Amino acid sequence: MNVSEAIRTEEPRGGLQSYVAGALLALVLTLSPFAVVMGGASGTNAVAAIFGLAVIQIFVHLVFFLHLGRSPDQSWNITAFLFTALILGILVGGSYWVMYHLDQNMMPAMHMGAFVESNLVAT
Amino acid sequence: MSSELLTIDTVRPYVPPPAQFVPREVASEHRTAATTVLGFLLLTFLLGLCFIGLEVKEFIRMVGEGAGPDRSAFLSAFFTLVGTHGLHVTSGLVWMAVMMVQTSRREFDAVLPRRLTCLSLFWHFLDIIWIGVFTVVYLAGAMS
Repeated sequence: MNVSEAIRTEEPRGGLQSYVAGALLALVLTLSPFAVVMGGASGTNAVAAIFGLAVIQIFVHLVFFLHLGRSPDQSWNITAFLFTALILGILVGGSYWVMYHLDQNMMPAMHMGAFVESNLVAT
Repeated sequence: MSSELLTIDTVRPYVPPPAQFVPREVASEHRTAATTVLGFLLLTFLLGLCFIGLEVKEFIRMVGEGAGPDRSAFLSAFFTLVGTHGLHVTSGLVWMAVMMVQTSRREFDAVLPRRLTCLSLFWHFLDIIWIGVFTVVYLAGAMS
């Protein structure tokens, strides 16, 4: 393999244009959730909007900067990425699930309140 | 399974081609490529440095106001999360400085694009982490 071949095989896909497009998209997808929050929006819809925009931006980064695509030579990268996403989902989602139930079932204030109340009723 | 998956490119020892075998037009192409790479590395380095500067400024201001990591569980988590990301960005800046030296000194051969690709993966992955951090910590935190 000569030198120019070696470089060409390792050249990232897409080139400068794809990086510029990705950077512009990332900029818009960063500024818009900040605009939503700094505009004073709140509530479930606003939370859903900023998390939705974050997920879209993550995909923009994956496609334009990490060059994750659907071409056949990418299949192992996609497999590794999906496995990473699964593990992250179990860790983050599982932690949140456990914490939520701990909060619901074991908050000391709630138990103490119920305890005091029942004692008051009994005496 | 394609055959290219079976060749493990990264563990093969790199043998640089003797300089006189590199054609002159390829060598000049490489110099242009090296200049472009250096320019964008420098731009990325400066932007990263701005990011770290802002973060250090924020930390100093917060600690000055008494909102250090020892104040509450929230602030412990905040400083751990944002600080860990900041440490990774700082390591990326060191790595980038090393790559700038290597790009300006080494022949622009096969080993350099591979190292730059690894740096690119590290840097862009940090970016993806940061999307999560600013969404959950800064934006969702400001709303609640």
